[in-house]
Amino acid sequence: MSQTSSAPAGAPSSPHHIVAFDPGDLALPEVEHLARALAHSLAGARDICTYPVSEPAPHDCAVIALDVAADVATLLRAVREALVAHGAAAAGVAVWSADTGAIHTSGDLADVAGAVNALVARRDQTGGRAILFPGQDDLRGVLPIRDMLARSAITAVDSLGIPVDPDTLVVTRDFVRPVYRDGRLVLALRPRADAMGCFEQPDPTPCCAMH
Amino acid sequence: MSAHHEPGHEHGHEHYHEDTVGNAIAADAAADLAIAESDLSPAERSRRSFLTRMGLLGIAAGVAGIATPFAGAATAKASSAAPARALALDAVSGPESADDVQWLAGDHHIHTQYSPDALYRVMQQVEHAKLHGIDWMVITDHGGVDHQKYSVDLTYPDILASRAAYPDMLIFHGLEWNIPSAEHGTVFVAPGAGERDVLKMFEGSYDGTVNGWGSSSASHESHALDGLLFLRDAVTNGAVDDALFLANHPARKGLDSPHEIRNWRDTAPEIAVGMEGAPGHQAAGIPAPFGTGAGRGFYDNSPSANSFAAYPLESYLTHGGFDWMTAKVGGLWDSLLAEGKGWWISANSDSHTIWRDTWANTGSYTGGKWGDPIDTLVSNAGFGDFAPGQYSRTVVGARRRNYASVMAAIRAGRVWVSHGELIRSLQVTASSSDDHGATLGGTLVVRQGRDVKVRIEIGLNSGLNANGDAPRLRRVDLIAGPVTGPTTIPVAGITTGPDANRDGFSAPGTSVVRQWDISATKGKVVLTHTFENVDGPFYFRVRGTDGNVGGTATANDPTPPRMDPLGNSNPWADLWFYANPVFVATR
Repeated sequence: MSQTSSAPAGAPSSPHHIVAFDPGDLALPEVEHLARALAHSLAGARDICTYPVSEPAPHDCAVIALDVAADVATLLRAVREALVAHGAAAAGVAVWSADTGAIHTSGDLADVAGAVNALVARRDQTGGRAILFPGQDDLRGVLPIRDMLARSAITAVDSLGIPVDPDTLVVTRDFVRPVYRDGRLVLALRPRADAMGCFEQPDPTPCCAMH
Repeated sequence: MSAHHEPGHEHGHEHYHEDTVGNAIAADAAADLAIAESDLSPAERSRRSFLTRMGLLGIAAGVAGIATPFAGAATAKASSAAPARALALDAVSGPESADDVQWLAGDHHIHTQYSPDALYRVMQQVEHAKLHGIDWMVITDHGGVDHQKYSVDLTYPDILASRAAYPDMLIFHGLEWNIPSAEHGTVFVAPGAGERDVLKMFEGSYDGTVNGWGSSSASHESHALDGLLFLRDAVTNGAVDDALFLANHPARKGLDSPHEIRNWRDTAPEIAVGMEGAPGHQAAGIPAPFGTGAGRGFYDNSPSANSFAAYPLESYLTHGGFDWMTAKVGGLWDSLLAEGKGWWISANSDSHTIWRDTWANTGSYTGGKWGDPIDTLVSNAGFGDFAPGQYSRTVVGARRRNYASVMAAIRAGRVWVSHGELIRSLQVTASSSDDHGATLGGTLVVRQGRDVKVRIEIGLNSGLNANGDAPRLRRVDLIAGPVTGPTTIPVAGITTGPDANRDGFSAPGTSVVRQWDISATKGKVVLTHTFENVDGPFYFRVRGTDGNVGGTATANDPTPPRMDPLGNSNPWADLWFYANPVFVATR
């Protein structure tokens, strides 16, 4: 893997809280919609990630990192109420606090495992696909890798072994979805004819297309 | 394997023969217990007797260090409660000589108006195939509730009418199976009284979409295996004369995990015989406004919750038009071959809508069918597929020009594939002083310490392909690796359970062992190589390219194919051929 890192700007501070929920059997676009709605109702969202889990059947959990301190019990209740309001009553919820380092959960044991896994992956920056992150709005059009790293929370790119340098252009299509990996927020790239593109495309041949 | 040579470029040993060299092609019918002894030539009978004495056939296969690619089939049938019946009904009477093999170009992945996302009448696709030099073809519309309920019955008379109209074309009836817990796959059966009913029953009982078994899970995986056993039993019970399954676009979305592929193959090795080495939709990377400007093969997806998590991101791309499982030297395909079991590759059109064609749907997809298409006289550059044979070909060495022989050749792995008619013909043989020879898919048995001579005879294409280009073969690569038995390579995150050692997808011992630059532009090229003093079982395979573009060298491969760029991958400027392997067993 070829990774180009940004200049060390100091690790970003830890979020105050990380909130994760497991919505059960829900399609990814709906999970994303629910997570954005929940983040909107909670103040101070820094980033939102989705995280795939395989039990009881393959689906995605969501994780929201918060920069605002709150009472954990209040937060759990607020998350629960927001999910109920959006029709996801059975969701397992997990909340982590930087102050105590403890993970609190709400929901049946079977429902919270996915949420806890997603939360831990985001906390340790080992997994999670960011659908919202600092600087995302500045990653539009065609940009050199240098600018993508400077303008956003992305800390590295993975170009699949294809040689790139900070001036290599990336066609963003205004759709950038980096993933947490090995303590970094990594943007995977794929080759285009005269540039690189984001690995994840906004309009992949659909999951349920018959092709 | 003791191969006395250095990896990397080597030149020379390139001989030109303007005439056809009458070289015996030793198809490995002798090792195929599915072929009745009465169907074998005297030489093949003698060879089978030898193989049996050496314990290389049947349940003793593993003892010799290399299973014949067919040993599992024999074992499975022997343990079946149903009376044994020859699965591979080859010619009624056996060929006198393997020279009788004729190479037939085909395509096992073709859609029609009976798919919700396709267009043509069956007869039109047959005519397209005929135009492009195809000898055999499989109609594979998508499995689904409506397809199962209506389309199978509707397709069948169209297929019968096409067979009557084009008696020279071998037209199989099949479907594109939504494999439970996995990707799509071609399932097809031999023509006969039961072909329609078996397909319909299979689809109703085992299609992942019909039954809601699409997502990845162990229970859904078991339904896939049940489906393969159903097909096996349909053959052993005589409901159909033959049936085959090949996985389609296997790496596209990371859905076909290594253990699933191994389980398909090992559960019904006589049915589950291979995968698409190259997917269809090869026009999808033609840049806009001339084409869709998507990814070659429509390989533009990312990992999902249903994907096998250990697959690397590059597996989601095509490489020189080929699926990563095949294109990666020392990768998934090689990890299967290194177990000494056959698993063969094909290359097909997946033709739904043909690039720049002027035809369009009418009506709506109701009752399992679109209305008959009409010619709008307006070319559609948004179509991402080629017609059958226009770009991709699966060429099989059939003993007779008939349905049974084509299926037997696919099962035997007597198959090579090409894009853009890069070459006209290919004959690969391995021989030694104590075995007369083996070809693609076959097994050569030699005493330890013997030399194994490889002969690759390539008919160059001095004409034009379907794009009006004169394709030029510029390099041929010989790839080889030891047969090491069942994989024991662990995969991160999978350490326990029955699949712990069945999810390996690397064969570190396999590499490009020799390369030839080709300067000739017409006639035949004969390349030879000797594996000296062989000390253990191994396999080799061959690929070639026009050499226009390439990727970054790896430890196993000095000149890998390029990862196809999104938005602009001209398929006509990046041509490859791949051959299935030849195994060498030692005694």
